[in-house]
Amino acid sequence: MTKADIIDNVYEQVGFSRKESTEIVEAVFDAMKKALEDGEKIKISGFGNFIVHEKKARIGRNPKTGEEIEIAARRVLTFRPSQILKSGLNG
Amino acid sequence: MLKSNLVEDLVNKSRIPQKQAEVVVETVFESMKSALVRGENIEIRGLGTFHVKQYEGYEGRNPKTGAAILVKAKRGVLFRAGKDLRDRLNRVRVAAARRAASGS
Repeated sequence: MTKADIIDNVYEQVGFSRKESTEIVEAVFDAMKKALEDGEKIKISGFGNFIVHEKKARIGRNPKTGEEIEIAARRVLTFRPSQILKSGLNG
Repeated sequence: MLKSNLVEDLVNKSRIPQKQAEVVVETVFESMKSALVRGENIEIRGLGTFHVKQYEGYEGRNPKTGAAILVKAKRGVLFRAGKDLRDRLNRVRVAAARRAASGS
């Protein structure tokens, strides 16, 4: 499934044109990206949570050469599927 | 941010009536959920990919009693953020690190 399939579903459900549907779906994902960029957590009930984790800098090692390198502090995004989604997958 | 905030954003920024905005947001996540339940992977350009992973069952042990129990096979979802988004999450930090490195 790609964004195009989601846009098709929105187009069929709501009385917007295909162009409008495209813009609206893009707007939804843009709003999500902005929130994540601000370090905000997104909770979609029935689907799951997107969480931004702050990782501290640490010393890593190149497994090939054994050379030590500093891994810079960074932010990592994780997704935790909701209980509803999990039971849907295993129902 | 909650589903209701996404609806609010559509109402305020995209000028969409409340009722339709609710249907849009619901449809987006319901269609993603159905795809995953069908075992389909999802690729959202700019956001990331969702991958359905099949885990095999195995014989585990109750760590307390040592009793052998069968852990059933199951499916899970793995999400990987796209490169664009990963870069966006770290943009501020990278700029700050560069400033620090250049010593200004």
